[in-house]
Amino acid sequence: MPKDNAASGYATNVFINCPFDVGFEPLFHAIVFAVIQCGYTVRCALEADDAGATRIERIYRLIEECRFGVHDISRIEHDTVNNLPRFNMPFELGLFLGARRFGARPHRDKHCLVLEAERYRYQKYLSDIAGQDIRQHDSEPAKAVGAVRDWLAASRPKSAKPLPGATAIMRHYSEFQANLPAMLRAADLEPAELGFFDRANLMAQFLETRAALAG
Amino acid sequence: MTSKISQRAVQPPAKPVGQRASKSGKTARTGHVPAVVRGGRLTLQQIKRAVDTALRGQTFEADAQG
Repeated sequence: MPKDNAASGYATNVFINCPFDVGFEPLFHAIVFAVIQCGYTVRCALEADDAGATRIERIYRLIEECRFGVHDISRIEHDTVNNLPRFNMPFELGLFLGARRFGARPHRDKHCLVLEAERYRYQKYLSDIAGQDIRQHDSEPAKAVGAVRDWLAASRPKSAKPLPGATAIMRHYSEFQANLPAMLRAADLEPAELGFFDRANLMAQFLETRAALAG
Repeated sequence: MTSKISQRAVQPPAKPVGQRASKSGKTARTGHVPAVVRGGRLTLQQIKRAVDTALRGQTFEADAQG
């Protein structure tokens, strides 16, 4: 059973399943920013607070604790080290869909967004996922942000406050990026030392402070 | 030499930004509470101080109300 309570935040947790390599960072960071600005909580496998658990156990727990899942399956190229493709993203997408299909009642309300770089390319290597919510981003952060924002907006009740538009999110993200070096200097942190949690917390705090300054 | 990084590492983890009791509890323009999960090298105070320092003296364009 998902821990559907205020402590776990199941209803607003968004599982980000994507490549964590340097090449994907521009999209990953923009997606994280968009999720935070939309008022949701980002969860991903970079959480290393439970180092004793195996990776698959951490993935199980993340999926259990997240109502939403963003799955980018665009990294189908062979990696440069082993000349082999990576299967983690489609595997974790399958786990998420399996939880929705076979899990207890609360899991059946899971929402899933599949991102790909090219339209219809998935049909050539993962045709079984036809019928899911699949959007293309052309490897452009703005398009990925728009896809995530629109998908989250579509899941909200009509009475909920509207989410900021993708253009506004990208404008705020650009402002965040421009101010990040100064934030790191103020925190006495080198760019290479900036981890997932600190980046996300800086994003959240930036949005809050920015809103106060713009108010 | 004890680095500042190692000093930070022994500090308690930052409290989730979205769960603390801010003045309004929401962002001013969108009404949505930014939230991330536990963990991180920097404390909440360090995060806030870093952002406040970086943004000091800046003004930002207000967004249209939804």
